[in-house]
Amino acid sequence: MTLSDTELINKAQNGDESAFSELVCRYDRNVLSIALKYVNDRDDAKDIYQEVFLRVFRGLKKFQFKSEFSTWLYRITTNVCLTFIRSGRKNTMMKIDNEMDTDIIDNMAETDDANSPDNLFLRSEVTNNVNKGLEKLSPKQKMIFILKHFEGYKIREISVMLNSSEGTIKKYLFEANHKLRSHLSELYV
Amino acid sequence: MNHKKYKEWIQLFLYDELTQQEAEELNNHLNECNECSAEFEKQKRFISALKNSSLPEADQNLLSEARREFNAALRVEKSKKSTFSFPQINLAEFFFSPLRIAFSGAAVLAVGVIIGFLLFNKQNEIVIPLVEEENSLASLDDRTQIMNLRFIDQDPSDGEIEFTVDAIKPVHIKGKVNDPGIQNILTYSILYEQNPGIRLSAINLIKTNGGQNTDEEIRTALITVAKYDTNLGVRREALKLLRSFPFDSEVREALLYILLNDENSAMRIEAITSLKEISEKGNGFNQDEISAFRENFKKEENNYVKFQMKTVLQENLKNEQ
Repeated sequence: MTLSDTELINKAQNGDESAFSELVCRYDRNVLSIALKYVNDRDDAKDIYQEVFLRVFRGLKKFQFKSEFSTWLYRITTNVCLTFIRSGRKNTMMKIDNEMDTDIIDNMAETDDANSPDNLFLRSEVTNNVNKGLEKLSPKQKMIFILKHFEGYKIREISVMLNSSEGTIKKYLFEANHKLRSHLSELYV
Repeated sequence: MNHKKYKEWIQLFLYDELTQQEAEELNNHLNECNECSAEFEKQKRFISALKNSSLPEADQNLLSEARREFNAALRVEKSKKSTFSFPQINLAEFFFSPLRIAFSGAAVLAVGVIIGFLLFNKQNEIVIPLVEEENSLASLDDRTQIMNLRFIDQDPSDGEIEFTVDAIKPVHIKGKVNDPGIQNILTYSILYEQNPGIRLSAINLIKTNGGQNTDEEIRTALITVAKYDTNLGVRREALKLLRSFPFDSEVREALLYILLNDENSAMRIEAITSLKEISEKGNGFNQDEISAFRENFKKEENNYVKFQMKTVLQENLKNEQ
């Protein structure tokens, strides 16, 4: 029988470690996914994951069900991401010096086989450019764009996660969209 | 005409964030306005171009690593509250204060602190010179590894700067394998050591302690490793060693977790064999286990495990009748 979040939290608050583990396992893939997309570095993403769930562990006893557990968790996740400072170990962002060749873009639309070597190369080029574009955004713009575009959250959900109004989230989203579009203009013109 | 509003609505429309009424209003506007209509096409192409990018996804390996490292950190967090409360070392600040301290650094230091504690307890031996106090430059020598430099004050205008570093110094330890202090270090190694070969050796060394393994810390560490270690050999040895501990509900839950989640069939076989052993010694399988078998029977790929699950379910059915 699957226990609800509330039941698991109640158990975890009373010291049931397996309930806490189950709660973590229920959401940790999403947390890791957001972190990984945000920092684009596997080690840094693990650091964020760890900090998020340590904060959950420390704060769970005081959790009073004033919001959904998932809302609280994602709020912690976005906060940790936004305040994250790279450990300095490494930065896996690939630096591409050459500008995108417009031929590549033309070819991209015409290639059918998504897994062909050519298309995989193109995809990797596009990804590198998108990553470079994302790095130009402010932390909040980047987080909101990732949550909206790559993770598919609704604006209402993001506003709860980031404790901001929907209007503010839209403003950041429009700004991020504008900056990214300028950076990636060769991709769609 | 408010083109700005419609240009923003175009983005929202493509993210399915407009109400029906707003979408209709936008549609009417696009039919009349060439500028916004062109903008709509541009935004569509932009979104479509983004679809050709693939930001990294959290794969199973990364998730397993994250879980394993988190469990190790959690154990430190818990032991921090219960075990370590020495006035000389402020571990609360030392381990987890700034997020930017990578856990790996802290984990190595944790081992250092434990070693320091063990040695300190022997009264007449060395204490690890961990650099956490102010003005500890004198304690550094050429064997000390410096990492994770963190500035507190990097303004040189007053002639001084201030920072902390993690300083790791090699320590030579020799002692009896069944010494609780040695066992404690080995336990930490199986959780924190990066090299799976070392983790494996540490488990084997704990094993040489034979039937004396009653330590709660070791048992909990083995459960964590058996469930989450990324290396199959390490997981398997941890699971085997776990069998030398009394089977309680936590071990039982761990076995069920391994049976349902481990990708390796040898691990699942080991888990179900142990679970059967426990059930034969005790009161049979509990309801959670039966439900889990029922839910996972069809998904199970290994014939032996499948057969064992089926046997358990059939026996349970007979008992119910």
